[in-house]
Amino acid sequence: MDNLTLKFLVVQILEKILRMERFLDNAALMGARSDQEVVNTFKSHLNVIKTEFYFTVRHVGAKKLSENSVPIILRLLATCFHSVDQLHLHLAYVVGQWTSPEARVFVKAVFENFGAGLTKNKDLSVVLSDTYMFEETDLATYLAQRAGISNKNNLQTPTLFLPKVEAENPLQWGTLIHEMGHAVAEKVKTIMTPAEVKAIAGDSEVGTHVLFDWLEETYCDLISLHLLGPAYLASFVEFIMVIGSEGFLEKASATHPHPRMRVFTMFSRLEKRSVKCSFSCDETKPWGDLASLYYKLFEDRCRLEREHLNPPFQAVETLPINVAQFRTCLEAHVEEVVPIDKSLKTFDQRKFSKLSQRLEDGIPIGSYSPVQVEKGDKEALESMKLLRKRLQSGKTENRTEIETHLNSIRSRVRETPCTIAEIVNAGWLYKCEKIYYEALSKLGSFGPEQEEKFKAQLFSLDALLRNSIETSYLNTLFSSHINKEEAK
Amino acid sequence: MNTPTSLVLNECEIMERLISGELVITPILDPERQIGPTSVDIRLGFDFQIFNKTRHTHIDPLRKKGEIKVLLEDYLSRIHVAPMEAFILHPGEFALAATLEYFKIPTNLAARLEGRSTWGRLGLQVHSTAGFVDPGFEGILTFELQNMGEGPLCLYPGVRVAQVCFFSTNETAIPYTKKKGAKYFHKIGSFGSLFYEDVEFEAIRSFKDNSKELLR
Repeated sequence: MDNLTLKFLVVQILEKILRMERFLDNAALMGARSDQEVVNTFKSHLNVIKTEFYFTVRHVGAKKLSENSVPIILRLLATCFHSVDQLHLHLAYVVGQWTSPEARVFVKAVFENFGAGLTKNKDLSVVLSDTYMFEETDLATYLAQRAGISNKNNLQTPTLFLPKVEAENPLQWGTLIHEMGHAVAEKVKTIMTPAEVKAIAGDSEVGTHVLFDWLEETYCDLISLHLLGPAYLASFVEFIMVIGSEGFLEKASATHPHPRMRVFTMFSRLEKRSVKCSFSCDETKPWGDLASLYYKLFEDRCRLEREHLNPPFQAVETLPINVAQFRTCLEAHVEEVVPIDKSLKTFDQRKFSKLSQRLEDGIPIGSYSPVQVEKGDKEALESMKLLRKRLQSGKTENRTEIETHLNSIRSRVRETPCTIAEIVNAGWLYKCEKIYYEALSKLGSFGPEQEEKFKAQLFSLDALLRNSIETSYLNTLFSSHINKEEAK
Repeated sequence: MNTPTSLVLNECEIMERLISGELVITPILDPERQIGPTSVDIRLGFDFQIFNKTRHTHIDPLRKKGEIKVLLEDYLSRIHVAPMEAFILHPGEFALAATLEYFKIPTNLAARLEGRSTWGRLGLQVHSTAGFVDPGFEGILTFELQNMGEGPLCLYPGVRVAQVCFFSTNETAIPYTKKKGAKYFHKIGSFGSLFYEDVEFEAIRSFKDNSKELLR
């Protein structure tokens, strides 16, 4: 009888495995090509479970089953079903809403800017997360651990988790860049000398771990700042301000330096390099620029908590690490962590305002031509009028000269693709100085009408930015080819 | 007497308007190839819509707007094609698609969307009947793609499949954006028909409702 029950159990579990396999096959048909890595990770883990399960199946199927092996088999079957159950818990990643194509383009385009040395052979997947948390993890290891199986094929699926509510909000995708940093942060541990490590962490093994984790977090912040400029500070502060409570903003943990230190480090980097992303409207002048605004907001948020909620702890004291020393050493090595000024200097900060104005006019900003955005390059306009008059008067004897003239003006209307950083910074400017500002000024009488308008403005900005990101990526691919052709 | 400007804008007139910011077409990546003697080549965007066979017999425009929207969701499938990937249009198939370019047309210009001979020779039609663009239009244009040829067509975002030419007109009193019942401006992506929003249907709806009342 025992044997029959065991056999039944085996067949029942086998059925579950096969049903999940079928479910994953169907999911694979629904996802885009770029999502297949995520589906494959599930399939590969299910295969490991299946292979191990068949070992048990053959035992149960044997003619003679010893009395001693029954409890072992029962345990193996329970473990097997537990593994299937754990995969089942995470099936939300392969069905339901996939990440928007524009978010994938965002990740791909930004990741390419990390440099070939860091990103070689690495492809990032993005899944939508149920928790409001941005995270980077190796999905293959993560699922294998939860399912209690070994990652036999040594599969690697570096995956970013994007909260579902931010799925369509490109301004918050900046926070994903920090997470991309984790995928390539191995080398950062070597930048401090052993003496410095000792000065910070003493002889404590735990302290050294904390130091390396903090260093990795700082690296991820700085590389995001390097790639995105003030827009990263804005997206980080907005994220942290909302989730921060009960002293969290000034609380360090074993894995993260406290947010206040992180924000200060980033803000002072931008300050030192005079990287401004200034608001253009008169009424918003007191706000200064994007980074200053968010830095002030963050500091004030910390103050409010300190004064009114009295957080009861100072967690830093409990960590075996000298925070002041960490900051000093970090300051000394910061250029090695990420040579930030090289990138930030290339930001055309005046362009952000121009692009922000375009967004206000409802125009996508995937590319940019100064002559069009300035609305009237006098020299080009005069030159064009001259040519037109010449053609109208029939003075067309020298066609080669006319063509040269025409081409020189044509090249002025050529647009160059905007970078992701330009698009996102312009988006933040527009959101703050127009959408937020308008909503803030009407909070006293905020009703359904204001809500409708606020919603419409936010979602149309989202759509414009998503379109701009994707168009800019395509434009970049095309432009590099067109430029090569021109050079020939 | 001033020399009259031409009815169809030539490349100089198009560029003059682009430079002055009066006319907006973005992106223009390759003006040497895109701006022709009297037209501007335009590209396919990322958004497509195809029509499904459904269990519904028809869509009666007299039904409530909310109901029609739900029905239309059944009829249309949205397909987003990533950069460097293709949308395949099979022979005889019809699909809506967005232009990559955004347009802001001044109130003294009208425009017309036309196919490019290169694609026409393969059987691609870029609009069925609605190729005219009113002065004052702002937004992304929608292609009504149809493959009239014999073989499937691979359509990649960013490929130049059509061209737009511009006609000068005297200043119009009411630009498209201000026109009563204008439905398709300031939109990103391709959009299906909003036929049921036409005022005539409102009139028929209310006539029918009144008749029902009288019969009672």
